[in-house]
Amino acid sequence: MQTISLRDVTKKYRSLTILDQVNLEIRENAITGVVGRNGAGKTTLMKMIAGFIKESGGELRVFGERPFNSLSVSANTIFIDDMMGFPDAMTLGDILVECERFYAKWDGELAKRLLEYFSLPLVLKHRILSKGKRSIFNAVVGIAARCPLTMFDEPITGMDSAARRDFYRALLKDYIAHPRTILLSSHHVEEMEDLLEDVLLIDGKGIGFHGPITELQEKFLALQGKRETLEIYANRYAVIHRSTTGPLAEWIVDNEHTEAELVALKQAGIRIAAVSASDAYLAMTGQTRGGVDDVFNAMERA
Amino acid sequence: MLEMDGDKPIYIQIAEWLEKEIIDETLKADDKVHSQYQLAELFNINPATAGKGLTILLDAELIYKKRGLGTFVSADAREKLLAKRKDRTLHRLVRELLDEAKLLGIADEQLFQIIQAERKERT
Amino acid sequence: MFSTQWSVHELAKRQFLFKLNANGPIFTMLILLQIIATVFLGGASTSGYESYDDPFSFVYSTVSNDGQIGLTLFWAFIVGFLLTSSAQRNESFAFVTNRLTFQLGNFYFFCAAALLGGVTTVLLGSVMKIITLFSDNAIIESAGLFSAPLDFFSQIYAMTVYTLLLMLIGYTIGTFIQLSRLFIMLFALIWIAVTQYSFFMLGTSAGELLHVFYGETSILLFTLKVLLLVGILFGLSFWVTNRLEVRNP
Repeated sequence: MQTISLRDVTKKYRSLTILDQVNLEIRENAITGVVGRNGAGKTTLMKMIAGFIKESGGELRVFGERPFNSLSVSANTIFIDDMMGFPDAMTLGDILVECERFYAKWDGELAKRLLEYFSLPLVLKHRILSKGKRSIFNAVVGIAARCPLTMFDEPITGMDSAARRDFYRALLKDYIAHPRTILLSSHHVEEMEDLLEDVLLIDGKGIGFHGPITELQEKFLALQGKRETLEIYANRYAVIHRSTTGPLAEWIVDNEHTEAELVALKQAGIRIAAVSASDAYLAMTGQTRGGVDDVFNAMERA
Repeated sequence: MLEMDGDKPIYIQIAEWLEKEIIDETLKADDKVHSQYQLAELFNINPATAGKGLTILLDAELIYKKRGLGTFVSADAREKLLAKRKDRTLHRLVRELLDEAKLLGIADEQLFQIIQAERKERT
Repeated sequence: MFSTQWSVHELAKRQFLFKLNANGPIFTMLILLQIIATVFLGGASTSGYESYDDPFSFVYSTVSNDGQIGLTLFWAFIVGFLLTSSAQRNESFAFVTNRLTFQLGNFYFFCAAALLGGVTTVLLGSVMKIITLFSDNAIIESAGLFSAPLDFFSQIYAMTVYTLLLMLIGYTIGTFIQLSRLFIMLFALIWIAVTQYSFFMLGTSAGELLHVFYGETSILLFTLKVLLLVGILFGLSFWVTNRLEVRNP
């Protein structure tokens, strides 16, 4: 069953194209990590799905309906980001009352207990919260609303590491007890990767990768060793990324080796390591360690 | 599959953890195995990933499914695992040991002595 | 395929209740403005000295709550305008809504706020009469709740309607400005044109235009005219609101 489906969906602002002819299906009750570099279009995609902004072309369906101005989509969807505004005059307790009014599956008890755990008294006003505390509050609302489609856009902004860990744990526990479709975007892939079932990589105005996280991991291998050795033995593989840490070089290569080839590499003294999903993501989007070195190297040459 | 250096994917770690539980008899024959949701909670991972770990054991027929009841340890699971360990893990370790010994220029007799000394220390 | 479904009516009602809870300060603002009007404008009582040929002369004063009326209408316009802010939209869209229920919720809110504005303004007029009665020890000849109940209620009705209209005008203008800042220019031009004596050379002064409403003596016709204008303003603002992208910086 598909919760979200896009057919050739495009989003443009005048002449600026944000997303170009995107085709995508998001399965029901899976946690999908939405990743991509700044400005890749993650937020735009999620806001279209939430019905906040309108697609410029193509066919977008959420629960089988076009989300823009759909009451049913809105009633079954919640979108959490740091732009999420609540009235200045309201206390956290007041806001929880409003949540109860609007979200059919709202669990007020859970929300209260989580806020208590995160030391957020209900009498506080939302506007006086620090950035991190505000993120925590919004995230708690997102978890307790139990919407069949729950989207978090950069939910951990400003949270300290303990709060981030607690948030991911709370989200997982509530998801196991009440499965729902979750989209979760973050730049800290390494922190959330264990939580994910699928990864959606937005790159170049479209989809760079979409599939199970294990598939993303298995796309690549990391070869570590002396650069000269690597250049002799590993040069015939498609190298996605090269980086150097001290005397050792690490190449991330396509995982398309026969067992015999790998044995040969090992015997040449090359370490073969699995690539974590976050490293695979970083390699695919050219963000791996040392990438910026190229800029300085180029300047030195000039 | 070839053994990897460094961190293994999490679902392989799950499978290995369950294998270890079977080998040290924390999980005995016909005991109920953790569900994918229990594993997900335990390891703080996505249930689908935990499910993948279980699938590895199911494919190797180390565990079996009872409809509606859950997953259970196969009667011969421990024997199978022990055999596999002997076959693969031990051989791999010996290979690595020999590689290292060659690098350091250590003769076989010297290796035996190290092993015997280590064993004495443990007992 | 949906686990939760709402009717437009039900959600508009909930959005309205949310607006009421969220916008308490708007009512505080009204009360403050009216207190200011009462205290500082002194109820705008104008005094005169009428002198006929001897031996009679007398002092009279007219009590009116024009000050409060003016301030309430000003408040109404501002409230209408305020509710089009992107913050207000983001707040509503933090919960369940579409653009129709959002607009309806706002409209219900305006109705409630206008009723409050209308009632308090007219009542304040009565309060001031009482104050004058005690301070000047004068006899007052005017329409009050007991002397002329129908007149009293028609005052409340008219005041409520004017307040609502001002809110909707503020709201419609605000909505267009949200769509494009260029509308600020357009509205400024319209304002200049309307305040000129000759309105677009048609020979109709702005006063005459407004006369369509305040000069109307039949309450039925007045209501019809108001409904027509409310419909137009609601339609215009909804035409824009229905297109607006929300929670987008």
